Amino acid sequence: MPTWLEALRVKLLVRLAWGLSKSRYLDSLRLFSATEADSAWQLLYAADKVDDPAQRADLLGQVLEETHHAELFKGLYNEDSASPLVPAKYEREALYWDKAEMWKFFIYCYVGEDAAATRFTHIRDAATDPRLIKTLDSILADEVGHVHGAREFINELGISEEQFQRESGLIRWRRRWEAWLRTGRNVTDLASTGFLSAVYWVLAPLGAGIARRRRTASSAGWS
Amino acid sequence: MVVRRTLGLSYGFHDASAALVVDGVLVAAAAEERFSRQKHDPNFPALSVRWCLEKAGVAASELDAIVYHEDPAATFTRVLASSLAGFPDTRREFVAGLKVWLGKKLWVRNDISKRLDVHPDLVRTLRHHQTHAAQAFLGSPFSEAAVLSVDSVGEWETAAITHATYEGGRPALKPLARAEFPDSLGLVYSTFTAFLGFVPMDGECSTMALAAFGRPVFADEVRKMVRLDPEGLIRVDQDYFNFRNFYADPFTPRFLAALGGKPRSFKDRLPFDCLADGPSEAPADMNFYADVAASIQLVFEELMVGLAKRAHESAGSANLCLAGGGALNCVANASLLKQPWIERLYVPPDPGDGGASVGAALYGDALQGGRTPGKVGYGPYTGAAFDETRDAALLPHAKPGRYRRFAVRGWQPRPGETWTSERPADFGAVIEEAAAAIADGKIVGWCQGAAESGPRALGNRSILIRPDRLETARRLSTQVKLREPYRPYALSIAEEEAGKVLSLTKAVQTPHRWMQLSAPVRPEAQASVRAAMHVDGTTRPQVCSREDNERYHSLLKAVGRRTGLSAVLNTSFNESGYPIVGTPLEALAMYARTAMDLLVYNGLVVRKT
Ligand SMILES: [Fe+2]
Ligand SMILES: [Fe+2]
Ligand SMILES: [Fe+2]
Repeated sequence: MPTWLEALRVKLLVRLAWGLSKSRYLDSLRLFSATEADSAWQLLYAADKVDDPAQRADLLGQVLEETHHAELFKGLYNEDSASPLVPAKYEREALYWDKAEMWKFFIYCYVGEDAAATRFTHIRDAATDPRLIKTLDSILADEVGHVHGAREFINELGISEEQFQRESGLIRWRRRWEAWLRTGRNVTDLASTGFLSAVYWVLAPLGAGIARRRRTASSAGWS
Repeated sequence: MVVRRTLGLSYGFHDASAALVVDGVLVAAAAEERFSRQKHDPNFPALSVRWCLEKAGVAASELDAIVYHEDPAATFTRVLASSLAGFPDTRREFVAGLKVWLGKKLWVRNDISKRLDVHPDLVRTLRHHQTHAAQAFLGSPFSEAAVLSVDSVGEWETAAITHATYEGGRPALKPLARAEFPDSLGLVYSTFTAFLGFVPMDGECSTMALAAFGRPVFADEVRKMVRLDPEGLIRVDQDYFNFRNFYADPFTPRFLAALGGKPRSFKDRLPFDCLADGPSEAPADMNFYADVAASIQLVFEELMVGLAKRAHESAGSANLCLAGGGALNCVANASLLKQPWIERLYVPPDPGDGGASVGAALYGDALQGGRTPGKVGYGPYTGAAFDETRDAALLPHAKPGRYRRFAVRGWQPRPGETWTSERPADFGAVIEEAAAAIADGKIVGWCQGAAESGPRALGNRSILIRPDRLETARRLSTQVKLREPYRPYALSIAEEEAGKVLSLTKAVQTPHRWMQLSAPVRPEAQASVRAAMHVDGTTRPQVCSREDNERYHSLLKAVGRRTGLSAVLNTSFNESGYPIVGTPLEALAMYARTAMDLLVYNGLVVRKT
């Protein structure tokens, strides 16, 4: 998506969707917090696969930063919410499981951090709430550092420019494809919500009476 | 020789976990949260499965059975029935429930078989409370026992009484009585937990802690809401509750009217302090919440005693095993042990759903190959162990100055603070250093070997201080744990000295070793463990023997040589809202953010200078 279009999309989200519905805003904060926590986990996992002590120390610093970001979003959430943030829980999937592929992980970080920085910049530019702006400013400063940090890491690993360009290109496509799948899932989800709601209004009145009496027998052993 | 390898799995609700039993012996068990770093992670425990198999050197294709903790089809009928029964207010629950169940949860057998690349026939299912019964009984030293399991809900069962015996060399779990959804004592307790401003299915321990500050003035009201039932064990007056729509709107008008107050906002501070002497001077509205907590806790204890009595009578056994989330209530557990008709009590290291995978694996193993009564128990140290060598090498590159801005609220490192580290050649020196620091009023992070399974840190992933230092305990609460002052700390004490401090009506039982029971502190010993004691004069002890945990026991003794009492205040090595740490790097991350003075990870000692 071109940058101006993405900026416009984010602006609509921030001004309209968040403005109209606080719960949408809170959902977004919860998601941001979970994404930051997931970054922290990915880095922890990566640190386990890296041997160079200096690099591992750097990764520890980054884990702390991403954890801190997750908490900043959590703080914003809790300020505006009636109930405390219960973190979203992702099924953790390491981006790369193999030690031999860790160089790809850092390129992924580079691409991912870059994308996050762009996205947060759009949100920051569209935001009106000074607390959100302040938080995003501080996070953005870190994310820009992460982009540079990831690039340095890649250089230290001796990855050639050509390799870097090719892999980051692939990762960008992979991310686009994942975003497309997500959109697809959201559409299906919306459709199934509609369908199941209809089922509810038609069938539930019949089922309710039976359901209120329904009991099931227990069995012994395993099945 | 035939080798049996059985994997137990529990996931889909909360506290997902995996456990591996080889020939009757539990070789690995861990909750997914310890690997995924998401507290109460409910997802498929991919990381813990991977770890269990790696630890035992077993390939998934070599598994003889994979046992899942519940019968998904039965749970689905409950979810479906309960969302239908709530018509017309349950459209959201119906839609959400059907989406996850039809989309995923119902097909557990296929899901597991696909993920592990094993034949679907290897995947077996148990009933959830059967799993709980196995979890409680098969680790116990008993050859027969009455088992009581109480939780929020399994398939339909919310509580069950089982008579556990052995027949022909195999365990026989005979169901005697059960309560069914929506008659759920666990959900009643969780509703109160939500009312008190805590997160249900997580903050129940806060409800229990708060109870000590209140008077049970609403007990009669609570007794109207839930009572023992001769037929179904527990009867809940559904007028008061909204279990069918629990997460969206747990309180009914009748419930609110009975208590005559509104739910506490999580933002309202509870002005109660375990470390303060004398009554807390709290405003009336906050005393109200303490009174509500005291009331539900009292009624919960009464009902647990009533259920245990039923279990005892119907099974005709003086041995009692407990499981389910309800068995995490250490105050209620202690009230059970006071009953003269219970001679021996057993509560597994992780009685909740996190330990259900252990029950599933042990039972599955025993159904295939039999089991000798009481022969192979299992302790709490079944989790992952990590090597600290690489992290020792990392330390010279660490930049404590850079971590300043991540420091927890309430603490700032001294300017110019650096970390120094050493690896003493013999472990005795590590113990002496840690003991000296503890005696000196320092906050010591202590990680050794395999992590504990279950929610309690028992000296392998713990933070320790002197139990008589209130100032240190306050620093621990505000600069390390970010812990609310109404939540008490626990005590670890060497077995040889337990009698000096604790006043136990019966001999030390296994649950005392794993913090499953609260216990009164002798009046004359209270000052010596005041920081680890609740305002009601009780503590949650870990009575530690050399056989339980040799290194930790040695540490306790070394502390004793310096302070006169072989005991420490012991709290779990995690920040509030996070799971207990696993790897050295995770421990270092917490060390960096908090006022912890000394970090010991296996043989590595790190200090701030
Ligand atoms: Fe971040
Ligand atoms: Fe980042
Ligand atoms: Fe359970």
